[in-house]
Amino acid sequence: MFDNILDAEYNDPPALLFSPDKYTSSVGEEVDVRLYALKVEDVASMRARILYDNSRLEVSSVSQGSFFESAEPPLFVYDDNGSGQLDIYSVIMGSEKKVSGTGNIAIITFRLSGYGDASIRISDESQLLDTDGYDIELQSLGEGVISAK
Amino acid sequence: MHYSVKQFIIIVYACFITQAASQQSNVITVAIFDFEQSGISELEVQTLTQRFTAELGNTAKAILFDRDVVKSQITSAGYTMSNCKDPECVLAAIGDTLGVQYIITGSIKKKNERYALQAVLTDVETGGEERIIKANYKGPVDGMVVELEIMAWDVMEQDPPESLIAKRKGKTKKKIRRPNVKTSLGALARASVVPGWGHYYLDQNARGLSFYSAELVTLSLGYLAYLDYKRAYDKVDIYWTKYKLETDEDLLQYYKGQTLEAEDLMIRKNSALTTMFRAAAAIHVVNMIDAYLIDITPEPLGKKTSLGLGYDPIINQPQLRLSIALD
Repeated sequence: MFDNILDAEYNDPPALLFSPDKYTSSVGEEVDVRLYALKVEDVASMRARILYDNSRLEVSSVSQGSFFESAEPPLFVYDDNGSGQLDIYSVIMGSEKKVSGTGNIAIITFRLSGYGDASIRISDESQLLDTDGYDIELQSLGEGVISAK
Repeated sequence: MHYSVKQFIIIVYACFITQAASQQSNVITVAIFDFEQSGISELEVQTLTQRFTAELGNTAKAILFDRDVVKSQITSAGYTMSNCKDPECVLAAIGDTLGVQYIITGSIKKKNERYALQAVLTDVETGGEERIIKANYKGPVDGMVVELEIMAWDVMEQDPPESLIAKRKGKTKKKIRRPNVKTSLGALARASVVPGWGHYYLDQNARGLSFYSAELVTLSLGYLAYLDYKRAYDKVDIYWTKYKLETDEDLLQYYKGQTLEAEDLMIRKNSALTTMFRAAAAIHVVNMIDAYLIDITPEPLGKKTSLGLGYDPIINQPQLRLSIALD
């Protein structure tokens, strides 16, 4: 019953997830998919690799979320070559150098280009790094579905 | 309207026996009208009605009203004995002017070797049919006469004498109905619809009221529990929806807690609701069983006390009659 994606009791933290994980729209329309970090500790930077069904989806834009914001704006870049793989990089800037908790990392806007269910998935090549550059092990990686009518 | 001395004596005699009847236990005054007929002649039906009348007299439970007085009243109302045979016509013609408590009408229908006999005892005061005896007989005509005589005993709810039963012939199917008699099944049917109604039907008003009140209170409490349950259910819905949409971790946990709290309340209210409706169902069932098991002692005919005001067309005077059953 309690199946909110961002509920730590529903998904094992630390995790990278989509919330919500199901979307419905029409072909030609755009959908904002939110990428979240769930119960992470002392994260200094991250790379999120998102695999998507490029026969039905196109990445329109990617904007940064609030999670890595501090006194100074974070470094935020993304790379999408249209092959169905989107990489998002973000690094916290300023004096704090690290961030903990749950928060929105990015908002990915997809344009629906074909009918049917298009899957989106966070690859296990995604990484969270601490201030020393070590990997923080991710326990859960999100998946989602965008349905085009 | 002119009447002979003989008729006057008959009236006086009739009034005398009416009064005398009230002093006897369970004895009623009855006027019998010629039965309707089909397949037999008017003369035959008159003879058969007389046989029925004579046998009714043998029961010693009925004081028979004089036929001449009845005939005179029917005639004065613009009817004849041969065209006014059904209870509606008879009651319209005589009303309660004669002071008779009951009338008996009936029919004898013949088709081949089969006879359909019917006798109806009607309360003059209420116009209600007290007893309906129906018999389908197949056999020789003398057997039919015996059945008719037995019906006279049935009408008075008396066991016919063995000597009469021994004369039976042919085959008979009989049906006796008492439309105005209260039955356990009638009480059960009413009690199943509304608690207490079955008791009320059997004049057990206090008990009926107890069952009705108990069920009403239980159902009211059940309804209140339902309202509480619904409120809790709505809260669960609201908090759960908020939980589902929430992205802030603290708020998410808060809504989760609120959902669980409301859910707990909902379960408790649901339990109270179930208990109340089970209690109401139990009261309803007990009420039905109790109504069904109440001992019904049929009230004998002629037990009712009645006061009547009428106009006697024979003596051309209004009458005030008081009839009290004395046991």
